[in-house]
Amino acid sequence: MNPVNPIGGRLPLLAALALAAFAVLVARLASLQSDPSLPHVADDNALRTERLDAPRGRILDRHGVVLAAARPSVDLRLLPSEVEDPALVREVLEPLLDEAGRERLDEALAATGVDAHATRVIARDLDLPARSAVAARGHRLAGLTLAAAQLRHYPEQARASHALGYVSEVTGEDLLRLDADRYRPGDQTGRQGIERLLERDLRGLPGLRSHVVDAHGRPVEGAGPWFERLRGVAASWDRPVQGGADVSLTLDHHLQAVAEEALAGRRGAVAMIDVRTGAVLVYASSPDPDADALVAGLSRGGWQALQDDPARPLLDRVSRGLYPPASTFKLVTAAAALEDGVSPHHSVVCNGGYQVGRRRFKCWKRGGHGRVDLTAALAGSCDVWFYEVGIRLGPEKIADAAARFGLGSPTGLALNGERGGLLPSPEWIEQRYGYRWGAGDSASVSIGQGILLTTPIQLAVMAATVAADGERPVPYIVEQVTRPDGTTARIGGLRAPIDTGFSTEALAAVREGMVAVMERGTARSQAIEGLPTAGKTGTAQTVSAKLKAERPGPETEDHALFVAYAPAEAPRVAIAVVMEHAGGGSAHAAPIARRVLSAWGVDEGLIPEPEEDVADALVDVEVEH
Amino acid sequence: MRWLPLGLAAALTAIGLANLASASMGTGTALGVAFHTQVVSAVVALGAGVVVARVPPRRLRELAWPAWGAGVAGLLLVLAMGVVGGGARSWLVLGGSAFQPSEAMKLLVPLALAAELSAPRASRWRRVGAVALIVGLPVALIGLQPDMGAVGLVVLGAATMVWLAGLSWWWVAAGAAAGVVAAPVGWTLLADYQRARVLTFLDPTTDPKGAGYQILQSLYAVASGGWSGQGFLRGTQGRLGFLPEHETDFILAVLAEETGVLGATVALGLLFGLVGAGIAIASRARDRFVALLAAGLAAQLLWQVVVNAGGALGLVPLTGVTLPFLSRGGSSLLVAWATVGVWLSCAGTLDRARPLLSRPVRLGGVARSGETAAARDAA
Repeated sequence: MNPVNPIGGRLPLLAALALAAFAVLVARLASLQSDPSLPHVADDNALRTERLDAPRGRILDRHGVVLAAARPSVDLRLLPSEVEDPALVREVLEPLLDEAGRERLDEALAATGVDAHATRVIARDLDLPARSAVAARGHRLAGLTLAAAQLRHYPEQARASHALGYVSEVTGEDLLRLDADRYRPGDQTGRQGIERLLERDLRGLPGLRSHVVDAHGRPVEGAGPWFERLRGVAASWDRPVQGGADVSLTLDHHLQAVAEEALAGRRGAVAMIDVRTGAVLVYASSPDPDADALVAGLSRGGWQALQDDPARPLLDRVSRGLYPPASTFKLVTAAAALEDGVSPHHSVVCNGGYQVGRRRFKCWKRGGHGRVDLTAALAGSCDVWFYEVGIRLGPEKIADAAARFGLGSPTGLALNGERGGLLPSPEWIEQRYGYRWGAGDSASVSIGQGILLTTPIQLAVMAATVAADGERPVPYIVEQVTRPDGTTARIGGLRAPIDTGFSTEALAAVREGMVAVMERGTARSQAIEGLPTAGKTGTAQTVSAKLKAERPGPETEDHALFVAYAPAEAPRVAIAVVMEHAGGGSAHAAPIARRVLSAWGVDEGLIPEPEEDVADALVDVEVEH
Repeated sequence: MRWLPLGLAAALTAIGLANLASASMGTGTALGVAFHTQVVSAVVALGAGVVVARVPPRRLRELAWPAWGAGVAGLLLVLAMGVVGGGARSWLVLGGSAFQPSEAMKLLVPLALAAELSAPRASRWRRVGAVALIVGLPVALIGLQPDMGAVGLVVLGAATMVWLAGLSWWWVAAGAAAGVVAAPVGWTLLADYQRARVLTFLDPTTDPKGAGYQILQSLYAVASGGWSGQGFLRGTQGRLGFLPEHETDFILAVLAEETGVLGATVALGLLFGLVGAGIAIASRARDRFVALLAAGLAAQLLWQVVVNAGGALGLVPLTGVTLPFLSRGGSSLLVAWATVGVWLSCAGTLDRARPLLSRPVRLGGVARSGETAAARDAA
């Protein structure tokens, strides 16, 4: 610095200040590059990414009949933060909405904070008058939009509601759990059944398409290097729509419809499977919810009513209903006895009861069956024969045989959280209740009562195992998945039948008894002309005999059960029917099986189309107990 | 060395025109009106700079008060018949071209101050009164427009000059203390949007869709550019409207998006180089007026760069001042080139008779430009 400069003293300070300012600005420029999330914001700004919904795959029956499909619909959506005139929105929409819709509208209009910035679906599948009403005042209804969407629906008469499940809107918790790439608020996701089990396949992957927008969100068709660059970025973000895969089930829509019709208005379940492959032909649980109504969305009251319904329509009785197998269990006791060395010709005199210690166990037939061998004991469902061999066998051998027939544990169908049930185990009983197993307990279990719970699908598998000579099929319901590109994947039917180890002779003797049930036994009135079947009735006590006598009525009435296979000589299908609190199995379960098996026989060309209504077969029924 | 301000200014003008060419294209490929206007302004500004450069410092001193008066008259005219733009009545429209007298005050106030502060001292109070008049009158008039950014810059520049002139550190400390005391009072005098700007500056994320939007968008654009930029004509935030006022307040962000930290640093380097050149000229001056003028204009430029670039980078509150040579706007460019012209004059660059910068430039009769060192020594 020049010593004679008139203001020399402070110039270096000014220079230092300038240098410092320059350093700070450059440091700031550099530091803005260190946040890895910032550079993308500019492109996020300028590109708006649109999601292209993937059409949800269909669900088909074994013949390709569509059980669940996606159809176009118009959704009414609302973005609460953009609503300017809530009163007007309410005034226009309320007459157009059902109770559920009004609830959703109230909830949306009450949303605050972050919630108000999420678009909600107020109503799905708006009809034309409603659409017109909204569109006509659209310019004054800021925040409301009509959007093209798709709606799941179930077109067939055969609903198979529990097997198919349904879809409904994702909740906040769902969104935390689910893949954010695939779901956003307002989307629907599979609940229950196949819709839930194969959600990923059915849903597909939404496509992404980005385009350049300006600061007001308006699309921009620009030109120049900047536009080419943005378009390149947009292209790298694009993703084609991957449509959902079609799912082919093993169900037969016609047999399913027959079963549902037979069950209509009653509580019960029908399961029918292919004895060799385990393919499920009928999966019917009654009562069932209306899946289309669930898709449209229930009001809070409607949902509560569904959950509180004493008939429990939401319960999948096929996989999750637990019932004592009652006399259908005699097939197991018989097989266990034969394996244990009891001869099929072993005969017992039934005089209407059996003395165990100081307690007399009654046969359902007060007057007794007289002298019965195995065939006669199965045909007439004589309890005394089974008391006698059951007590000799003891609980372990009976439970072992039951387990080998697939009872007491999930069959492997893997639908709706299939339940296992309960098999007799003296150790478990003693541990849990401090109760010592006695001969009387063995007697109860041998006729399918007592410590014993099974599901209808297990009973169908049990019947199939008898029919298939001890080869226990693993039931399955999904035949294959067909992706939009034509590739297929086989999902079910991959597991070979399990060899239960029962001898051919033993099972042949059991089958002979089941044939006798239909020919001259408890279900002789349910025989199908031209289609020999083999079956076993069951009637499960639900309360003590004393209570039943004191308070007769639907709550204390017995469960009716029936298992069967057909044709008797070359079995192809097995069926199990359980009717809750319906009464005797021969009168209330076997006729339902008869209707389904008859329909199957007609469809397979084994018997001609019936001229008279099969329901006429309800006459001349000997009531088994 | 004496050509340095000219070279730096020319480089800055070229960079500014190229950057503005890209910004003016908007979403198309044709050069916008803003660019054409700026080219015309640049030619005019260059001419004005050369003219000013040929005026010897002695004449500048004589012209200081009349020029200041003309500027004040301009400000009065603006208030009477000015055109509103950007929320302030700042423009005078004369025969199809618009000019902002408030821009000119960034040159004319330092000029008048340099003349006053280098004049023989009459009395302390007269000096204080003169300084108060030189600064206070234009500041009041600009404040009425209102253009608080320009007010701030004029006050900052003037304060720096008074400090350079040798204001006692005691006064500096007293001024700072007064500022601290006055701040709460000033806060209540600010308009709502001005308060919002300050609050937003303190934390832009508090209101990302409102007041903080501009700063955040600017930061995103700078971050998008990275170290080397998206490339010329490849920036998007300005032309798509995400970056508001991208041709003026946020021109640095536009430059950074397309040319990166590298390009922005080069531009800032050139601007700070000009500041340094001004300080260097001041440091070599023998004359108090010349030294004060050159240094004062350096301080004025320094503050303007700091306020604009700092605002665009979220370091200081947004005030809406231009970035000299780079922002769109003829007045800004004209004043920037006139400033360069003053420096060239002070450095004697175009004075053929006085080839050496280090020659003393004495005004007021003793030594005159063109006199040889020997003649001075003899005197």
